Amino acid sequence: MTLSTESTRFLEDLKVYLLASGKNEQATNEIVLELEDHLIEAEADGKSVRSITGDSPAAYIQSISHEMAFDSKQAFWTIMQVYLGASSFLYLQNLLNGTMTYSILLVGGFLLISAVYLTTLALLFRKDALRDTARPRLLRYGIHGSVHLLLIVGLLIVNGLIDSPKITLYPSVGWLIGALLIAWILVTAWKTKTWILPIAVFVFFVPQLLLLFVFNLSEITAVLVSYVLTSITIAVTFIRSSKNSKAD
Amino acid sequence: MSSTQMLKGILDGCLLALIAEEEIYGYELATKLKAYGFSDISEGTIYPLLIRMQKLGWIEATSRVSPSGPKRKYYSITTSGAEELTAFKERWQHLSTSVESILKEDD
Repeated sequence: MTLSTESTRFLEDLKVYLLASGKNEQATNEIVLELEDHLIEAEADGKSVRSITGDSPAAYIQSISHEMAFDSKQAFWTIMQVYLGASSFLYLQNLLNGTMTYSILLVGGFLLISAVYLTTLALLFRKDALRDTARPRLLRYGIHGSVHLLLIVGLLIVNGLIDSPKITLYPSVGWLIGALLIAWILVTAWKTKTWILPIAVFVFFVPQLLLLFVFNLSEITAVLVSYVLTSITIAVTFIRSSKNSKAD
Repeated sequence: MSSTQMLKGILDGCLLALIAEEEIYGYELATKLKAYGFSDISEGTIYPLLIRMQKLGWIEATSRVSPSGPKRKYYSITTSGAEELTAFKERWQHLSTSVESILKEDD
């Protein structure tokens, strides 16, 4: 028995809203499955999603969220996962280029921008889940992502102009941190059964190493080729996973 | 005051009473409530209440495979839920007696 588009959208919105509100993932999946089961029977009996949610699905989603506790432990690990995942690209690229010096301004600024990015992204997801229109507002996510990318670029420029205290890592410490980052990425991927990040890291760095050291190409060419390969891999993975979830 | 607002305060007790009768799952619970005359509340209203009653330890849920395929959550009442139900019945008895006697005076 397949659900109507309206019911499917309601369940997706509910899941996104609860997860973006920091609710426990297992508890979220349980209530979504329970309501899916309810909707299957209700639709078979000729009822619509409104007979379950009342006139406002948005208000109903909020009433469920209100009863569920904020899972601070899970929120912390999610933030760590996203933060370390994002910074791993920058750090490993620096490691490959031999950069071992980091300014307080760069590290602090990156932490602050990432915190603002994650908080506003969660708010955007919550707002989008309660929307009235059928389609998600993709343009908003694009603008949101671009603004933060500009902030990172701005930080890199300011970091070059303003002098702030610096930390220089010993090469052995730098490589050890790099190895720990890779181990972290693999362990979290294995735990969450989501392999997109290790695949992206592999596609970004392995061809780069080959182009640099086997084919002796310039650094900029190696980075550009790896960037294009990673973008294609991520796009293909997302399309495949969205097709699989639709097939389910 | 609308009947929906009046209902909110007593729905917990009604749900507890239905769960105390037998192990029951969400859709069945909503259908039973309707059959007893609670037709102007939307079916989904029960789920936030079920989450809250689980948090309070009044009910517990077990997942079992349903005849229609996927795993289904069945609710049963706990000892503290049964105590709460007894307290609710007393409160309701007192309230309904008071309301009825006022309404009779009006007649």
